[in-house]
Amino acid sequence: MEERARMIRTTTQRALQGMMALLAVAIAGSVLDGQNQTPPNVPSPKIELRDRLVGLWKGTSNYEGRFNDGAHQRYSTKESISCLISKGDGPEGLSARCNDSRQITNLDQVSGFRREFDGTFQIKLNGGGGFSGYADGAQKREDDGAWENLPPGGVITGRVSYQLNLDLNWGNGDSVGNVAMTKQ
Amino acid sequence: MTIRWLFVLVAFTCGLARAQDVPPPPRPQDTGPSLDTTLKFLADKINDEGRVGYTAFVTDTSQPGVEWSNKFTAAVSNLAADAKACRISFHWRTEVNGSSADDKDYDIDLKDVRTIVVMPQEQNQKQIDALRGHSAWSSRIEPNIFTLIVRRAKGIENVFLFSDEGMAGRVAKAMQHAVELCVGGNKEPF
Repeated sequence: MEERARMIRTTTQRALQGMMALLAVAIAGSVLDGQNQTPPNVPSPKIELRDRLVGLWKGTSNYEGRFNDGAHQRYSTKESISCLISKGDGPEGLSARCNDSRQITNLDQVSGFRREFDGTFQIKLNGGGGFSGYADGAQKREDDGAWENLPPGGVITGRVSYQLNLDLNWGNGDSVGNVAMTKQ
Repeated sequence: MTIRWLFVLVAFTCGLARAQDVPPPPRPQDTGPSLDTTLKFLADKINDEGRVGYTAFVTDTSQPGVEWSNKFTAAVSNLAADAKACRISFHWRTEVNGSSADDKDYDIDLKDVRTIVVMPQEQNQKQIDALRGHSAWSSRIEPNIFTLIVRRAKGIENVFLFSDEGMAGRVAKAMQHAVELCVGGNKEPF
């Protein structure tokens, strides 16, 4: 008798557990299956662009040319650029801390040197995935020498699609254009 | 727990399960507008509303100072009511900022309707955005419009937009009456 009662008790408990599980599935289903023809708001294009831009971006650029001095000797440059973009002033503001490190080789003398730029830019978003900004501080050094401040006038511009295409002008005549940057 | 109590519990559980199988009450005798008249009123008033345009000025409490706007249009067309089947069908097309967001035919089986409510579109928009993970967004809707929401099981909802709150309320009352005529219940005229 006692054994039968235990069996009935166990069966009843299992049935109740099953009903609770079905109820939970039904409640979850009611949320998942929900529909309402009201279209949702879409995010602000500028806010969406800002969120896409925030992060660490890196790119390289290799090119050859001739020096501007009298001998006009040939050189090649291997350039590594990184920009850490973070949210800045205002709801749409961004700031970018960029480093531009160049290994410049004189191809006629088989000698070379290293030139490095570092600066911070305040960025404003434009329409259509583009942005631009000015340097609020930039500096330069060669071969691990002392940093020297650059004159004001540094400019950053860019456009985001599947990658970031970046132009940097350091304000002293040194610049790099259309560098394909990828997010790290 | 004694066996007697266990039997009582099982009988109660079975009773609950069986309660869902109870058929709906029979259709009441007509004392108000007929189903045909009610559905014609619904179809006329909803079709009259046609295309509704509005702009949502959105703010985000997680980003103070941020506001942007989205332009919406919503159009109901070809609304037809079938009294025999107790069904309303219509075509619904919406655009957001000029891009199509929805362009489909919908059916509402009036026998499945659970609740009918009218609320300002601002309130409905907030709920829709929150369901999509943007609970910090609030919309100011211009011009002020009103949403009639027809709720069915499993969270299924259909909406109709009205520029006049009074008309939204009248249509809601008519729809409630139609639902009652289809499944039985209160016959108070709208």
